[in-house]
Amino acid sequence: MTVQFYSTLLEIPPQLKAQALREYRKYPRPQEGWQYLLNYLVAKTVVNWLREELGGKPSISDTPTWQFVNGVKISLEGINLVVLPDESIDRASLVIPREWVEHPDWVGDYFFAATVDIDREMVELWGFCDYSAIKQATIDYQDQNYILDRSKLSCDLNLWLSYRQFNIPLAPKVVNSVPQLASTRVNNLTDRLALTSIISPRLAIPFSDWLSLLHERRALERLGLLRQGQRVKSVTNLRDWWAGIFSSEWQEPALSYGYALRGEEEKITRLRQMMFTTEGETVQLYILVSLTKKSQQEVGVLFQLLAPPDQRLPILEVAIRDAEGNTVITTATQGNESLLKLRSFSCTSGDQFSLVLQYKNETITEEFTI
Amino acid sequence: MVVRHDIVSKFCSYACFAEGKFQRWVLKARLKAEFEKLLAQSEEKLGEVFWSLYWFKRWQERQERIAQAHLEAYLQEPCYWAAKTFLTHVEGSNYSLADCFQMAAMETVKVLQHFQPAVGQHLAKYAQYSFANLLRETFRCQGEVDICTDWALLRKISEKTLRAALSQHSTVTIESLVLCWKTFKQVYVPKPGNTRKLETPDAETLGSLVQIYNSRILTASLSLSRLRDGSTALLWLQKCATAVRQYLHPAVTSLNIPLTEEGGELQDQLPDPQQTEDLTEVLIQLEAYQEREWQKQELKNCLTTTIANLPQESQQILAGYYQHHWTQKQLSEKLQLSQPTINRRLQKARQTLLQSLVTWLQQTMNITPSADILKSSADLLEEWLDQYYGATL
Repeated sequence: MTVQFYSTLLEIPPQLKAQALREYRKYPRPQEGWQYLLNYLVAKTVVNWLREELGGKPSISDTPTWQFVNGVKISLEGINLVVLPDESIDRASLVIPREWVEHPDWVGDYFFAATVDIDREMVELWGFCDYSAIKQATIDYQDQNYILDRSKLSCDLNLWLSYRQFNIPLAPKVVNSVPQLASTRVNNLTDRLALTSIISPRLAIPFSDWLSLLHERRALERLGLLRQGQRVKSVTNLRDWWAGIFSSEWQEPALSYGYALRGEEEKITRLRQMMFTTEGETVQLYILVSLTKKSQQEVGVLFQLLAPPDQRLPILEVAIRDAEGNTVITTATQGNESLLKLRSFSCTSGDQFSLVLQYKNETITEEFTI
Repeated sequence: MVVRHDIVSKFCSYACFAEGKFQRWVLKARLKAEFEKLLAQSEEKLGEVFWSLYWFKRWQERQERIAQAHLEAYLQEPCYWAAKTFLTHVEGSNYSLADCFQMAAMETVKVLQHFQPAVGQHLAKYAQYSFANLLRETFRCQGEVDICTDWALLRKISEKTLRAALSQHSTVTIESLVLCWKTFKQVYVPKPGNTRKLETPDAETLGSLVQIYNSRILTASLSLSRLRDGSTALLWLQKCATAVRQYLHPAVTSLNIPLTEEGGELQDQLPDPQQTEDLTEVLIQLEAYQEREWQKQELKNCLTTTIANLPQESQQILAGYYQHHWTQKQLSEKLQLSQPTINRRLQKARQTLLQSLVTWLQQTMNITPSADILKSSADLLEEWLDQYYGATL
């Protein structure tokens, strides 16, 4: 470090702040909302800056832990930047959650300290270091953080920009692999962490378990929704259906609904009852899933929503999302139909997706894997 | 201020202030005697740069107190000029020149720690802009401390600062207060709005603070004090806030200690100075410095061309910042541009200059850029800009 303080000031555009506050309000727990807000503002502001400054296509990695862990990862041409929101005014040290150093999928090549000043609508990048500097950090096992003294940081972002220009090689990273957890353990941990009494999930279980849980994107998303007070069902494995294994809630249409289907060998259809209870009213409907074997690997999936006999479907927003959380199909009911047929799509073994139904302010998410 | 000319006063005298203003130089007899002995032993007449490198080497390699004393004496002038320039451009400061000087002088060791003679830096010039930077940073931080309520302040400080502020307490007290503060940060979350004016935590927040704290002490390695109730938690936190405020923003009166009083202590602590057996390294560094002096003209041509090719506005910003020592806020008012815009243009201009400098080093000096070369180039550039725009020294 030099005795220089050339921080880089970035403006938070008003529309970005407004969007961030809308996201913030989705979190009933203030700690999670605040953490998400800081991560969101930093990620978007820094990506915009990188795009302007360097061109290229910087991208923000995974978001399902933004409300739990401080920091966001931005990838730029194969380099991982971990930007860490910081509220301190003394700027005495950079606090790096252990996840960003010890998890192979998370580890950063560079770590940036970013003061977020929501009042003044500014993000200030005031220091950075590369992976090799972490060796000089101390570890706080109480809060599971690496603490790097300010004197070990470079305080001039121009240096970082010049590293790129003069092709300064990246410091090599040595990160141990993090074992995967059995699916029952993943479900148990997720259910445990969803408890309202837990303030910080990352500190509530052994840290090695938490690191392993970070492999499980679906589980983290489920945890996020559970902690937001949303109802989330466990994952339905559609592959089991070909082996004749069905969990009790998935019924044969003919039995539970009187909905007779033409028998086909290469097709399976099951139906499940759903219920929204919102603002004191209860609304019922059925989800009908039809699987068609297209080839050894490929399966066609068709979702239909059915109203109870002689009733209409409520006004719903319906979406199918892929494993990355991208919406692949979206539609809505008008309130006058008794059946809504979604566009069918093809999946191959290992694919994951979810069906998201929103009625008024209540959301139901159904997870599937094939 | 009277500038010191002879080599003995430069390395052996300290500034004395009266009523907040510079009064005179006070020569330290012991330092003078030892230094004169050393001067008598050396055959050729060696100048200021040599002796600054010589004492720096002894300070760095042997942590000798006498070397630090000579360097502190030598750096009194850059420290004075940094404080004076800073005060001329800061608005509404309650500090006198002596206060600012003292605040900067306290950072001398930090400045020395980052000095890199190997790249041909001039200690006094490097120190002057380093002192100026440290003063700016100290005042930025103090400005924030002033406008934060206790609760906002507690959310906006680092553990390192809190521990330093509490350092006079017993270990158990420090650990109990730090854990209480950590728990506070966990349970007390601001709402978007005015994050500097946070209010006293409510009973519910304090209740969960007490509960979480008391469960966390069970797993702590030390046996820490239990929190009785919310109002005790409130007292503990206020104690932290007060300590942090005092630490980050010492009262002006405590700084008004005449600097010459240090002399008495120094007399007793000084070990006998030892002649450095091997002066080769110092002479090599001196050569590096002189060689750089020689290359200065070429470097100047390269950098002045780069400056001339910068957009007019960027040139104005550079001049405002390095020549007039305007803050980025003042620049933003004068040029009618937002502060982030000023910051970005200043950074961009410095980046362009740094690239020219490194390319010049590559082409003329055959130096392959590395992370370290870039770091020292950034320092070199800073020193150059400071001089080019006519800093007083």
